[in-house]
Amino acid sequence: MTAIIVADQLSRIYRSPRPASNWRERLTHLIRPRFDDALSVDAVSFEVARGECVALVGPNGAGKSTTIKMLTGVLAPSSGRVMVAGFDPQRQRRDYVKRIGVVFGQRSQLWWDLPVRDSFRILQSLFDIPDAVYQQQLALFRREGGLDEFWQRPARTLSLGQRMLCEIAASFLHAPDVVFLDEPTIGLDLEMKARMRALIGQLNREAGTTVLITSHDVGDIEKLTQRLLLIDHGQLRFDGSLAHFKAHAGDGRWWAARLAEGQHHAASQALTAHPLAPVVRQNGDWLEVARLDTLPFAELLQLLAPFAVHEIKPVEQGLEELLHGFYLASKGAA
Amino acid sequence: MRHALQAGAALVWASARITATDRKGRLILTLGYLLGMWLLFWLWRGIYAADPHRAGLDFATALAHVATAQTLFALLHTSADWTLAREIRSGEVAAQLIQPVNLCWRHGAQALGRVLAKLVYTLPALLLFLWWAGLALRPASWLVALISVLLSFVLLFCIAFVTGLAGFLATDLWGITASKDALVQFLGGALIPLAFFPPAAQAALHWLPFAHFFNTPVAYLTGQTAALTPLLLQAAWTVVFVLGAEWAARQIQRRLVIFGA
Repeated sequence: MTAIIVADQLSRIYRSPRPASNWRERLTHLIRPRFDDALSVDAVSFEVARGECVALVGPNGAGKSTTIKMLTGVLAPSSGRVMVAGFDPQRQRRDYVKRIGVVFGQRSQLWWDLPVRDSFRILQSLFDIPDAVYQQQLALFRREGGLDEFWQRPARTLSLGQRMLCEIAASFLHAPDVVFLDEPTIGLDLEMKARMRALIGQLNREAGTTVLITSHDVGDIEKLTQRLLLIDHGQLRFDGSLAHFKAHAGDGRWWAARLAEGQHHAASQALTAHPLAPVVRQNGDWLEVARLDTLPFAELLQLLAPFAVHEIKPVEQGLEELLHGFYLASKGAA
Repeated sequence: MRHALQAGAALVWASARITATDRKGRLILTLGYLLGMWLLFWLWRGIYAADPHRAGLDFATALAHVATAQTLFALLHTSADWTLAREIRSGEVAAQLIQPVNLCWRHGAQALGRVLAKLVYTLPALLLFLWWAGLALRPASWLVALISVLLSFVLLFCIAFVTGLAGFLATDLWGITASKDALVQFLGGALIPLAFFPPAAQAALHWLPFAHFFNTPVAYLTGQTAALTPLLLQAAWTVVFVLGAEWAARQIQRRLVIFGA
């Protein structure tokens, strides 16, 4: 598959004036200003294929929004190269933005005092959208997003969820090749989140629009994306499928067996005596055995057959827990 | 070009609608405008009380000049400086940079929309005042007068736009905009007709852009002049201002994308 987004050794340094602590430093600053450099994004490289839906995640201040701004052309990289849909976002900004859609969670593309219908008409003119494309996209938003409910209402009277739904629809209105969604479900209730995800998923699948989404909501990541780009302290720490991340991050996957009292030690010895020697640990009434692809479930049951097993279940950490562990580990390493 | 015009028309329409929907605000502004005109009448009547001819102008000509100039100021003052500065400071400008429209063109279209919406309220108020004061606008050519007003709008917008770009450098723009408004009114002949200035200053202001902010369009609207030289000079300064505003926008946008929106 061809890459539609290419970020190559992308770095971004923020420069801010060094605060002066006395008058002498203040006067010196006027003649020879001194600055502090903060590396926000550090040599990040990745590629995204056409039609993919990818999550860019990381803790606050990790460099996600800076990366999105560089990809959308709002911010120039300090070094490195970006190509999106064949465009250099900074040099070809005016032509480039016709091919992308962007939702910045805290910013609006809608006209506050005008009905949503009018905002969409204005966007049609601004993006020079042919009538046929406009009507086709609109029909999809009305069907999947239920825009009719607030189509005639000014943006200022919409709830946060309704406004975000409109923002997402607006970002897809000109049938862009790539859509960047920065925290699209922030502050929304469960029902609204579900509608939003359904709409984004539908647009990603039906139109083959490439979606790069940043979110702290694991629901967004799990329900929408197939791939995870994990960024922390400005560096790309993980790039792979969600399943791969779940399988290898954190504590791993375990089988937990609840045994009759007094049998844990013997069962543990039986399991560790197996040629594969799976890791075994006791957790209260439960005996936990590391899940190995080479040790089938049926064989595990045979090993435990001599013991009184009341219950057996798989133990897997949730994505939120895995991400939290990952962030903590990175913090410790830093 | 077609796309730019289409986008511009959409923005003019949107901005005009938003301005026009604030009916109470418009009504209060119109009443304030009429009060200002009434005070202006008595002020200039006082100035002319002792001497019916000053600086080669009689009371009616001087009052028609100042009243028309003040009306133009009220009409063409589009707050483009405040709007842009606020958008830069709040980061809203990022949402504009992801749309395929030139920043200067976008704000120009929005400012024009505001002017058109204000016209709906201001024009009847001006006509009412002129009728009450026994004055009339008698341009030699309405077309030339309207072109001059349009050029005046572009000149004033360019100044406001460049001032607004300073929002990137300064947090509080009040001092800059207040000074700008005072200078533009005083040197443009909106507070006092340029005929009251010393001859050397008058000549300098005519060759410089200042006279073309208000004095030139007012002179056409009130029939004080029919010569085309001021219009040509005004047009030449408009080209310079547009190019200057475009250059400034490019410089600031470069800094915006480099330092972050």
